[in-house]
Amino acid sequence: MMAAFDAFVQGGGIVEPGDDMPESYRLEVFRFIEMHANSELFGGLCERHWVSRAPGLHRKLAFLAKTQDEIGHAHLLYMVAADLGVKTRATMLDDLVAGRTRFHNVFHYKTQTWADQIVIAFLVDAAALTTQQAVLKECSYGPYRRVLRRIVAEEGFHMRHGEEMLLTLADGTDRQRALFQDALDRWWESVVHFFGPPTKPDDALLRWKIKSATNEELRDRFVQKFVPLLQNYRFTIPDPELRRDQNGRWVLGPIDWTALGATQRNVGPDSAARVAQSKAAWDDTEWVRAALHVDQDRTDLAAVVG
Amino acid sequence: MNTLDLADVDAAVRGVVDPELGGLTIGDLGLVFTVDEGPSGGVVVTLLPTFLGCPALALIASDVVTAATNAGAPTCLVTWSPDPRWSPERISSFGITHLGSIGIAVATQSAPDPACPACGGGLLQPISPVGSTACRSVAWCGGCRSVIDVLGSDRSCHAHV
Repeated sequence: MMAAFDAFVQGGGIVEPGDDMPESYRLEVFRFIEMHANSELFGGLCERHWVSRAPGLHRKLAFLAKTQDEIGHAHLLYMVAADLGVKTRATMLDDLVAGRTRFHNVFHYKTQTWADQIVIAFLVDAAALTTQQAVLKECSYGPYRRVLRRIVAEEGFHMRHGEEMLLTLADGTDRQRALFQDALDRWWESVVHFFGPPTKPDDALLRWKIKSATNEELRDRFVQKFVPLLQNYRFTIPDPELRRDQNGRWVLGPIDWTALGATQRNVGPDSAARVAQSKAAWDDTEWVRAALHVDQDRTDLAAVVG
Repeated sequence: MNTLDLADVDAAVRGVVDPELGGLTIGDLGLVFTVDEGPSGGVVVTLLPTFLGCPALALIASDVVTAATNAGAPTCLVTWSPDPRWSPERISSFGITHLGSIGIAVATQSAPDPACPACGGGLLQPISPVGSTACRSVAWCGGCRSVIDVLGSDRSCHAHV
């Protein structure tokens, strides 16, 4: 059965929720989507703090809308994940706010300045978009692919907004430029880490076409595009060994994975505070869920929403 | 300077792509209300927002100015008008098909309960009055078990505008 299933997905077959699927496939898809959902939620919680601090009404409005987008994306993804029957949505959220499950490495650090938030809004969103576009292209799990189509369209909008904010600093005063350079110096390694360590040759996500490109391929796509773009704005990439190979392609210096390892165990520099904030946000909104749960006696809905 | 060809400018303005909907134009979305020649020879464009708090308004307006001037308008002034109110009835049939292809169902007054655009038949059950944006609600298709956004139901944008 496994060989037939492998051949089906490698031949471009799409798996739907009611179809037979190996338990290991169900688990891999589930973990991947859960991690994506967790990261969208943490992205929203992180951005939320900048609604009041963003300079000007236009930026505040944009951050407000972006926060709603990220929480909305998490909502869609948790529903797709819950439908796989591994965990209910409530369990996923309990696990997340208790620090038992993972979320993307960039949300394990403190955002200290407005420019830090621009690095997230532009470079991290661009990195996320690079990985999501690759998943969207060939992902074998139908419901995830359909939801991603909408998410990718909206993330593209976020990136334009991030680029506009970057341009404001890039065209600004020396102080504004220094603010962004300082943020880039502190965040570049985490952005490089975002794509994950080198993919193992027997990676199940690739074999089952849950992902369609290795972490190195995705990192390389990002580097080829964003290294020249940042240099074009006259910023310095904080990698002394960054060079071009004989074909003119950008090659990063050796990557130290220590910091990524800590974030994967939820013991990064700001992991505890971030998890605590998510727990506080979850607890503070209990009354909203209580009010909405009136509707959930419909059994088919309860199965989805958990 | 050539004389202004308003039809060219009108087509260019309608061809501006909405930044959040995967390639749909603002013409198909029904955001373009009027494209007129202004008193000083420039172009005046009136657009209708899907809802007033939409974060894409500034970006769309700036894309419209670029498109209009590229099409020969010497200047272009864009105004967002709350009147007449935008409604899903303004979306073209091509637009409804396109939105369906990215998992967004369109609810209109004459068809308030659209079928699931992913499987074509399933009944959509409302899950949340707002989704990733205030102009959409979220529904679940029990048929193909897809999460669907519903644009333009009474549960979402009408209450906000």
